Amino acid sequence: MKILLVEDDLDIGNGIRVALTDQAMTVVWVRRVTEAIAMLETAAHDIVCLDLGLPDGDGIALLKRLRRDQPALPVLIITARDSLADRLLGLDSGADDYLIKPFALAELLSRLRALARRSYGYREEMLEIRGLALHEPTMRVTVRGDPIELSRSEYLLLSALMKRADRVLTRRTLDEQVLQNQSGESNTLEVHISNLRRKIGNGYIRTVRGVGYVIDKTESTTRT
Amino acid sequence: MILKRIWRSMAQSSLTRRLVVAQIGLLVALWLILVGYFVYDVAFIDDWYEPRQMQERADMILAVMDGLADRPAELNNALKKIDEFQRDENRERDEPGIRVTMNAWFGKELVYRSPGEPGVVTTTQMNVLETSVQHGLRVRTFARQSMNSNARVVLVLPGDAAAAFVSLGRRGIVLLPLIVCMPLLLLPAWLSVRSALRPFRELSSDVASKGIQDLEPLRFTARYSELRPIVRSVNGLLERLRANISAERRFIADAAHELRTPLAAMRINVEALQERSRDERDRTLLNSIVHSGDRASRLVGQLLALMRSDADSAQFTSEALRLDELVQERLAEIAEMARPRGVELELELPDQPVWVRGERDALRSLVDNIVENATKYSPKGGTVTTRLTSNEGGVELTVTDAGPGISPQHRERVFGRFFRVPDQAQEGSGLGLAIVKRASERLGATVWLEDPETGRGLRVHVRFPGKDAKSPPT
Repeated sequence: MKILLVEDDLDIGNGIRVALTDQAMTVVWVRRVTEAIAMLETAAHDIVCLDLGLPDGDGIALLKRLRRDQPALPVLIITARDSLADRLLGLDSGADDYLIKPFALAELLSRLRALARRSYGYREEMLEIRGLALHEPTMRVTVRGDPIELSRSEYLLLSALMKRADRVLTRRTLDEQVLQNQSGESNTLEVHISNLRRKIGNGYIRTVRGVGYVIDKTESTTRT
Repeated sequence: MILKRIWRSMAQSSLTRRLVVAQIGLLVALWLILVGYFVYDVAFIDDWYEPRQMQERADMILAVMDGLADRPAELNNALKKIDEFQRDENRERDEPGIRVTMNAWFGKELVYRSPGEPGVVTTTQMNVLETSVQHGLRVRTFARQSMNSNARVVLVLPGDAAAAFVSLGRRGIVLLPLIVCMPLLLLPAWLSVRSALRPFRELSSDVASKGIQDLEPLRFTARYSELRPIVRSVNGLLERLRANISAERRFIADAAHELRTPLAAMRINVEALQERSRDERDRTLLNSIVHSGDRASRLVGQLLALMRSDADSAQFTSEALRLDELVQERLAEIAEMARPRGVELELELPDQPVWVRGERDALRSLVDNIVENATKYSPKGGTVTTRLTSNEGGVELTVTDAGPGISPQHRERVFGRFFRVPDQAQEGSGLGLAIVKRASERLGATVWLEDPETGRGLRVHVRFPGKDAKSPPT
């Protein structure tokens, strides 16, 4: 995975470069808008990590230009600006994700991987959590190697939960965005989840009562 | 009781009292001047008509005397009648200081004299008002001789100011009107002063209605030139205060913001190092650094949230929000933080959508801080229950934990900044509930702490304004 890091702070830039290189990613680190533009014109990248406050210009302007020239290139904003307005501006300007400093390395890695999966070239990747595997192109799901049959809704739910593992997806998100259920009948979600649990086994999908569902990457210590 | 209260309110120094007293004082002064003039008039003034009037009166008496000269008994009777008429003239009772008396003579024989003071007087001139002191009393006399006989009459008019004043006083003319009028005048005076001072009260209630956070100029527009300087100076003070506070907040917000970059740098570098390190002891140490960095980041985030919630309300836009969705989203985020602590989150939502009006950021930081706080203080394996209810009574949000709770004597103070309940092991900045308080103020919501039914832990209760919340408020 080749990443273009646009970050003017020396300590952060170096830290990210080392951390990502250690994760077997290729990092090109630039500190100015002009350098970033030059880099984007000369070489292909898989993901751009963009800081917003840069010494020779604003990251948002760069982002807009990037969207025009390379609409498919995933962009992750990393910034200290955390107000809702800033976040919305970033996402509206074409960023795919928004990460607020300071962030955990694990968080950065997971967002980068999620973006990579979404972009062409990493679609082949297999999602795997504690023996539960999901192969996206073939929609094949296996538990410890044993294939299982899922309905379309069950597959969509599992895929959403596995892609965003360790993050609780709200009932509303699952209902409206994953199942595209506009009827507001919320118990269909519970039926699908319960069917899914029966097929893949207990211990994967954890309920956060009233809030939503999550698949933890590590074994849950509390009851599911 | 009522009298006592009235007295107390009157004893308090106030502008109203001052003005009422001034009005009444003016009234008394005017009255006294009037009485003084009256006394002066009675005692000293010889009006242009008085000698003529006296002359006519004397002529009438002389005519009676001439006509009845040969019948002394009837004459005496007639003079007595005239005398009584004179004393009681104008329905005034017989008073020595103001009455008119007379002496009637035939030659050197006194045929009639008014009873009482000043008795028989001596005169030196005819047909003029002359002033003299007779029997210790200052009097004015008018003597007239009959054309047809030796009959002579002397009319005695009052001329002594002190005696006149005493007489008036005894008749109650000096004080009685005041005593009678005072209670009747006090109420209208008080009412008129009160209504005249209404702009003052409006101004004061406008100033009084200002909260600590409300530094907007006064809504009161001063139409009265007396109030304009006050309004101007209060607004000036508010303006300076606002500038000062916003400069300070900007400073803290900037400082907090600037702190984020080095914190982020520290964290990413330590984590990169942690990934490389194979030494378990090193990893533990690095873990502590990450943890400390987290704490600092959290504090910086809270400071920013607090400063932002204090910022000018003009920057914020109030909108209709689905509170149920927002709470669910926030809990989904916080659940990730709760899991490593072994704390389970639970949410109970009503079937219907719940709408509130407010700022999204304020609502977010309200929910975040309450639930994060509850999660932080929950024991391992504990449950934090968030319940949202909406009915005719309004929208209420409660968050209950099974932690150590907060004893009643600290429940007010925990909403203060940097206050932490003493003797507790849990780390924290003491800003969480202060942010909750500020956010609830922005939203017009009320927040308080109570004991859960189980008797253990703490429940944070938020009540949002508005009644029917099942549809978007307008």
